[in-house]
Amino acid sequence: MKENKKKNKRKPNTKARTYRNRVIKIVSLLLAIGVTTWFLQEYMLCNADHNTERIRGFYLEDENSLDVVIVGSSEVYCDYSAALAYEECGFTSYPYSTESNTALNYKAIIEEIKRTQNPQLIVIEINGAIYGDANLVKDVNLRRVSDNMPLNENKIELVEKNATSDKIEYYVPFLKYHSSWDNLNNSFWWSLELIKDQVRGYNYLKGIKNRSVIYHPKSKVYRTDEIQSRKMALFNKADVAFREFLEYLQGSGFTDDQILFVRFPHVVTTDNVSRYYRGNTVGDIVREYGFSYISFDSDNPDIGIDTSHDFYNQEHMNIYGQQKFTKYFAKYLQEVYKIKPAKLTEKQKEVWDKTIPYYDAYIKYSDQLINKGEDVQVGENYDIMRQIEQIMNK
Amino acid sequence: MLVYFLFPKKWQQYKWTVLLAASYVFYLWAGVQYVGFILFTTLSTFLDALWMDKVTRSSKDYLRVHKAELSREDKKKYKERVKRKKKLILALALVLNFGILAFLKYAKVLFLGGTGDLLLVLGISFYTFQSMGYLIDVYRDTVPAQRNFFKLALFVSFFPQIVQGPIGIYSSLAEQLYTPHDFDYDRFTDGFLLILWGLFKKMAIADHAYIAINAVTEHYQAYGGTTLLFTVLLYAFQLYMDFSGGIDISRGVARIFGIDLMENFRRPYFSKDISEYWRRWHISLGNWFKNYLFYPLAMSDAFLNVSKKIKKSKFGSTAAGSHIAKVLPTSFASFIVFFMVGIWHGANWKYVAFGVYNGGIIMLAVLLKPVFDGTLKRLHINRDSAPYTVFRIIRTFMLVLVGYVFDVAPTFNEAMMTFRLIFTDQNFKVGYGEISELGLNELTMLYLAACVVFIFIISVIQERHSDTTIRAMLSKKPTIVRWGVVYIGIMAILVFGVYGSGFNAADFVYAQF
Repeated sequence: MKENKKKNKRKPNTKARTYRNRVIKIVSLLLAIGVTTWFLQEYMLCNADHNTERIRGFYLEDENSLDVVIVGSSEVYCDYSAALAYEECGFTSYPYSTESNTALNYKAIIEEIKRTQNPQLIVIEINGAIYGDANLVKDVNLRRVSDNMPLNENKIELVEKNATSDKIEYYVPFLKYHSSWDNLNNSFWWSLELIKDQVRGYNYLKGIKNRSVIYHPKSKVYRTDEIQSRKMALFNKADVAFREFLEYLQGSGFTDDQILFVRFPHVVTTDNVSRYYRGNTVGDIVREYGFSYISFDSDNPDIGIDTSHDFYNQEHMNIYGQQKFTKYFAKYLQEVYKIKPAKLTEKQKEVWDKTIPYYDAYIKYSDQLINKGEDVQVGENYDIMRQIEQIMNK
Repeated sequence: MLVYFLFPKKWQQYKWTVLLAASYVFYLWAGVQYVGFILFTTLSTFLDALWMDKVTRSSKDYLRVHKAELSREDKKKYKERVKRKKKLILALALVLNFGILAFLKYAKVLFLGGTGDLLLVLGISFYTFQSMGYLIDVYRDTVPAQRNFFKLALFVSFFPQIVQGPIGIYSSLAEQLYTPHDFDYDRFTDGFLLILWGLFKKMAIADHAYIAINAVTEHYQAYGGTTLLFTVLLYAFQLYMDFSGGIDISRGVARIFGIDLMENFRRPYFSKDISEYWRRWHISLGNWFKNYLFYPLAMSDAFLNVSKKIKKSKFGSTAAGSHIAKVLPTSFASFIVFFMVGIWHGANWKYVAFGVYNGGIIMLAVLLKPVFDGTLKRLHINRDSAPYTVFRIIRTFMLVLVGYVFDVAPTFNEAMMTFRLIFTDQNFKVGYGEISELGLNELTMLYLAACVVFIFIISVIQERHSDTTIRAMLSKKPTIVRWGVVYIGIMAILVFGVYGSGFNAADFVYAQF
């Protein structure tokens, strides 16, 4: 009898233990899958490139620690160096820019800047307003921004308004990029760089990327002072998107001293002159909405840019042009917009001070490549950083 | 699943309605336009079976009542009449339902000149075969007619098997569907593993291979013999992974609900001859044709009479004649079965050729068996030796590959062109260049090669331990190993699976048939 009672007492316990163990196993499995998938999505299989590193780098910056944020497309991270601007003028800045970043993305970017920083000035390079309609609906141009933006209302609005394919893939990029294991070599090295940035808490080069080439124009180079009155209408989609963005800025209470629209320097040739004309049109539209616009395509005699030496193609400057322009532009912002050097904590100062030797080594490395005639994409990736650190350690 | 397992205890006898509802939700979700077809098949099958059942019962009653009055001859004549009547009733449903199937498959070619689109009704072949199999069983009086329309509707539409089978047999499937099943953790894990395995085969292997195959078939004439040979080899792997993967998923889902669907593949590429291959490949279709076409043909008076005539002839008294008289009915019936299988695949001469080729090989193998046996004896080759077994497996696989050429090539003429190029246009360098442009980079190719090796190893283990499954073997391993395998399986599907925009993981090769 006693034994039977004991057995009866044990039975429910055993059953309960079995259920408990099963629940523990299932939850552990789901957790393991969730964590692995998250890791893969964030670092390994995220189609990472310099855009990823740059935008994620922006979110690694301490809150309210940036004095200037520059929004735009490739011109921004090729032509401007935040490290050099810091060295020259003492203010902190960061390029929130991606390759072929279109005007459709601007609002979400500004909202993200507002959410995380309180800059003295936001600069917008207007290249995203002169793209053709095809560029505005290109999925990749949206994804370079949205994939690297944390999930919040700004990202949701950006995706809901502009997504051209399955929206779920914008919120769970793993669905789209899981197959990038077939480019394992690239994914692996980028993931290493992203993890290093994450662990360190900042990136060294503040998102710059360039090419070790000197561009020699093959077509006729225009003197922009001769054609600066010429204009061309924007493409329809860009026109609508850009005007909507300007209305948003007005509606959000941004004033002329908080936002500056610029056109960074280009080599204006017969091949891209229409872009120059559209840039002039953008200037008019910007002024129409009460904001300032400066075209460094038209007004660049003081910079000392040499179109036969300082570009790596007609749209982007090389390291020589980058240094000249950054120094000029940083001083311009300091003088005209009264950007004051940042009040940084000891730790923040230490971090920003570190960028200077890295940038110097970056320039040295790029210069060596140019002299050797090696055309390399020079950005903050594993290979390049290893070379840069070798130069620093010499 | 939750609704099924949490169904109130007091209404257990209606638990099957959850499966019926799920099946129709699944079917409607796939396309509202399809539902009319499946409802028609269900209704016509239901009414036809009841009609036959009524005739059977009334004839039995009649014979019982008039037992004393009727002579043996009268009874025989009466039974013949009843049989003829039942045959007509059966034929009515067969003609109607196979007529719809044939119309949808062939109308495009016969009436639209090969252009235009006809509705591709989801799973129509599979549910038509399944329903007609049931009707034939009712006709044969081996199963009773189902008197509940909704129960029959569930048998016809059971969602895990509707897309591509396996084709169920009423006597083994129906009762399982109607019996209420409680949640069983072991069944659940077993089913879950089967689903995982199927998803891996389908999404992480077959769909990668499909990218290259599709690239070739879209510009078929642009490729040389090496690429075409590679494509046929890849197709053999892709088709097996796609179809068997889909079946594993179906079986796994059904298993979770406590229902055992029949096995549809038993490592077909290990077959030692073509007949064995067809007993291991698409087993449920093979069974269907065997039960409902092969046996009726082979045992028919016409076939038996031919056999008898040969036996009685002068030729029949020779050894060869005696052998041919013995095997002719079955070998000719096999030929017709494969001819029908070919036609079933679609309205294209290449499918006819596919059927004739397979049927022809089986027919010749049976008819010439004494010749082959004699040759082996003369060459002192032991049929059961390992080298000869390996030779037979490779030979059979190559014969299967020849059949696949008809599948891969868009038309019969292009299939003939493929044979010519495979034998006359082998250039590894050109082929390598072409293959590297098929949308799969080197790493993906390496991955597929690794998958071939992996599947081969798994298949060898399965073949050697055919009395148990890998899942059963796994269940005896420590928890960490079992759950580790599940974790790796899920991650492998998530990472290596082909899904996302532009891909539909629910596209199975055999769903189109």
